Amino acid sequence: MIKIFKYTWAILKGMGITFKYFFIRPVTVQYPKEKVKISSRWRGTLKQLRNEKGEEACDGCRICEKICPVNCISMEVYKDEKKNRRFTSSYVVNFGRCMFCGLCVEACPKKCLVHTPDFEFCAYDRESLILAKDKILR
Amino acid sequence: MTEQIKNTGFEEMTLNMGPQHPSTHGVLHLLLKMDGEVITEARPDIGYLHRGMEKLAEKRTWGANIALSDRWDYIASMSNNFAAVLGPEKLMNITVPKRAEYIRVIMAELNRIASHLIFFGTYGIDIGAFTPFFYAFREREMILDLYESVCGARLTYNYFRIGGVSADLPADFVPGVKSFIDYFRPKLKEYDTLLSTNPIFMDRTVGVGNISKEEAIDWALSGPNIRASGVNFDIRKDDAYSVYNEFDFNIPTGKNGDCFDRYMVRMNEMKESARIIEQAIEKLEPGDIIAKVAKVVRPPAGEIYTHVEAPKGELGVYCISDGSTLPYRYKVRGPSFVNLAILQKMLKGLKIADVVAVLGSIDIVLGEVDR
Repeated sequence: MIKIFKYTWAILKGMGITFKYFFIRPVTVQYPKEKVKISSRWRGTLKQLRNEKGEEACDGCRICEKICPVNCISMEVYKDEKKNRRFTSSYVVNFGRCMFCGLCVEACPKKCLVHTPDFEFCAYDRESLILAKDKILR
Repeated sequence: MTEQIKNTGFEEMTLNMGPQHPSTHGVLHLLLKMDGEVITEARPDIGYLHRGMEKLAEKRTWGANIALSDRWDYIASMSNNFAAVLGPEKLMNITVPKRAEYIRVIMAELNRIASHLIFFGTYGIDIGAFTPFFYAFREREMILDLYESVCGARLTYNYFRIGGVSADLPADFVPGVKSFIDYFRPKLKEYDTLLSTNPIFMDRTVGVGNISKEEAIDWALSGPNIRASGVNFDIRKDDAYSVYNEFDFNIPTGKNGDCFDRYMVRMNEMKESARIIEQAIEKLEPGDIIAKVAKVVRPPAGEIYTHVEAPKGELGVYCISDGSTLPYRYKVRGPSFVNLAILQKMLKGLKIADVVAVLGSIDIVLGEVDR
């Protein structure tokens, strides 16, 4: 009998805490309708930047390709004799493999490979997870 | 079997618990042999989440292994990062800048709070109290937001680098941590009302799954599990790494080594972690965040064992370098894996209803058990 009273009192005490939160604004976010603000350092999908002339800034040094722990970046490089610099003829990132560790962005010497704040990247099949240069160079 | 029925009138039953049981914290498979309600033999069957981390590590550079280490114990990735960087740093004799050391300590201790909060929430669910889960995750969310502002990820941080950390703290991080701790301290009292002093919870945990001092040492337990048995063993004090010797903090220990003690040790550890974070923030001074290290890391040939006090226990990394960019051998001593072993001894003789209480109190993460 004493036990029943003790248990009920404990439950009521717990309920008291829960009851307190009735009057406080909820912390949950109704996700698809409203979105939380994400940090500017967010490690989302990858994006290549253009330089001030509007051409691609990447010069195909292959450092991101080498540093990637899961080998998800592959590229082909050619040299443009007129402009006297290298360009990538293809730059493919397989986001099915990518683990968003950010080592490639950190290593990029031209600072032309950056993360986007996109966290809703998804696809119906694996092929559409492989993004070529037309999607990455923005 | 028929012989047994003739003699005792009962048949021994084998019960498969898991791998898709909600209370096994992942994919643990328990083979329980039962005599009625009493367990006569318990065998954990692991390996459902095996990814071959140690072999993968041999084919990755030292720097890339930090990114892989996030995946061992995925709810305390900062501690894994810590263990992964200490080895090569010691081999190469790198002195980490003071600011980076304090940042590391803040990160590791925040991660300890986050990990213990998950324990608190899920242990409540295991016992049958659902409310603590929501409160624990609400507080953990704030820690994850702080992490997101620093390194851009919420779970697999990949924040530590050999020689320091990858990025400096943003301007709003230190005030954010301070306000979190101010917010968190009173919440601990709420948790005590919800679980720690609740007689229903205590009836389920006090005196269940006792581990004696000698047993705990024999089974090589570590972390809160061994401290609950009364052994004052904490790597942060006994073999202080990084700058842990500069901080003033206590090591909470238990007496009986039952489920309730293991729970209480973790709750008290959260308070101590909050104290360490406060001290570390005060010592934080502007300066370098990473030492001058070559981009391609080549530690000199040699072998080394480094260990850290992860939220689950002693997380050790034994690595052998042959002087190249890849480690020759990379052995990980995961605390969850070692702590799980004692389960087969503890469960013997207990009732089936206590299995979840005992398993939850060891606080395992299957990502670290299987690796």
